[in-house]
Amino acid sequence: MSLTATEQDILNTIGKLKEASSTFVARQVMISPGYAEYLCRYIAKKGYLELTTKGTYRLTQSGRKLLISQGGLWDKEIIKTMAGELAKELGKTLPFVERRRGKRVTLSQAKAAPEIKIKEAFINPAEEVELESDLGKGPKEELASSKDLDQTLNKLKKLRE
Amino acid sequence: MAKKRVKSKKKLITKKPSEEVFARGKGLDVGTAFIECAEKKGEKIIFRRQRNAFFEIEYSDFTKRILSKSRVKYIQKKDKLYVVGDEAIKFANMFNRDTRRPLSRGIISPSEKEALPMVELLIKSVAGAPKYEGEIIYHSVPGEPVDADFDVVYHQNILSQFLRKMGYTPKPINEGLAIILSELGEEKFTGIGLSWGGGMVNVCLACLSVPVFTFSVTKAGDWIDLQVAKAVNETASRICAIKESSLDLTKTEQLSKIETALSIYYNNLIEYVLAHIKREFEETKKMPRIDKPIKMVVSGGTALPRGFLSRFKQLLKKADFPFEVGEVVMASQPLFSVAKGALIAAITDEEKRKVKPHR
Repeated sequence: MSLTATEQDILNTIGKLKEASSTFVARQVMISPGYAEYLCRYIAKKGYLELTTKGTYRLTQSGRKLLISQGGLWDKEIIKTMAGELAKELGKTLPFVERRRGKRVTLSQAKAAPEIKIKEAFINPAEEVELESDLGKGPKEELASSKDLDQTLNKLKKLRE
Repeated sequence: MAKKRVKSKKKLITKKPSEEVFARGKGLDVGTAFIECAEKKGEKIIFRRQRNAFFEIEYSDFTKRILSKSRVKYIQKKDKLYVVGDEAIKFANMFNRDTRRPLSRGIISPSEKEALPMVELLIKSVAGAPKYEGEIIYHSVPGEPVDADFDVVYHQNILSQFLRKMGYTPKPINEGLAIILSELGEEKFTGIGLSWGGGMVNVCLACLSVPVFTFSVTKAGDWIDLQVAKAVNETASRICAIKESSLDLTKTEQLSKIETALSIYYNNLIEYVLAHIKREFEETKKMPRIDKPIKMVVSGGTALPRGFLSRFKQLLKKADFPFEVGEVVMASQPLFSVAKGALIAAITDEEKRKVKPHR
């Protein structure tokens, strides 16, 4: 059964910590505690999590299987090592395997190919575009008495004192 | 000479500087359909409101001049002109097309390329510049949606960035909680606040101003417009215009096709929201003991049509809630109660700032 991105995040978090409360999960995944509790229960219903006697959640057998199948529990170092080994293997076969636009190329030819550059600098979306505009003097103003607002402010102040 | 100097000094002291007339702090409601700002000036609250929609037309010098002359608000980007505000709806109806929205289902639209600069400009136009550097502004944020797979983190942070760039100290406040602050002072800020907006319905249960649960559903006014538009083969903008201008939910006879569809979908939406409130009550473990029946406040543009409140009460009776519901009331200013609640939070924080000694 497929999980949504947030549910996946929750599963990853609990998988990494072995056991976690929904409040802790909420903080890690940056969602409200209520919503985290709701999702944990929902995932538990699906059979991927189980509630411990301490009130925390941990992965079930099928939860662990799902996470492993999606690479969630793998350690970064292991992935790095495996990727290195895979690259070595591919490197050996590259001169015979790689094809570019239908032509067989050797390793040295492949190395000479132009590099693909990926833009790495982060563009802050809030500072990206400035637009020209004519919004006049702004919207019309509506006025209301602040009598009840003052009373509410006093009540709130008293309550918080 | 010396006497004169003293007099002029006295005058300077007694004369209030213009910014003293305004209370420090502002409240901002960034909704899917409208952006509203509230601030206090003397014994009045000033509300400013801008429709959060735009309509794209091709740029030409002529069109631009016509728009300026007719005082139609627009934003220009390269070869496009975007009519914004209420005029966007008029244009959309004229061309029999739909307006575009920078926000969708309560958050910054991920599919709308122009959303970010558009929201920024609209916020600038309603909030204006801060009265002093770092003035506190509380901006509304929706609760986590229970029926959609997205969160509000990106939306909240982008809004904060915009406001910080403008020189404010931004602080988020849940939409439902803002309504409770604005309307439930008599109940010691205990009760349920419901904000029926364009993209979302936000719900908050608070006890003594502390939220017990907050959530949102992504079905709201826009959803009604869209469903009715599909059912009667009209544009959503036209349905929205009819809904806002003449819908009467108390009417039971001689309903037009559109009115019938609107009535059906209003029922559906209310029942959907009530079902989620009921579920949230049943699932919240640490529910505080509230001695009195819980009062509910209804607010927002989608709750404005005549007869909405009685329809809501009627369906609430049928809902068989796990708690005793007290009075159900409409907010004193349904369109501005979120901004007003945010303003209350901002003024309270500003007063705390004044009290704190400088270190």
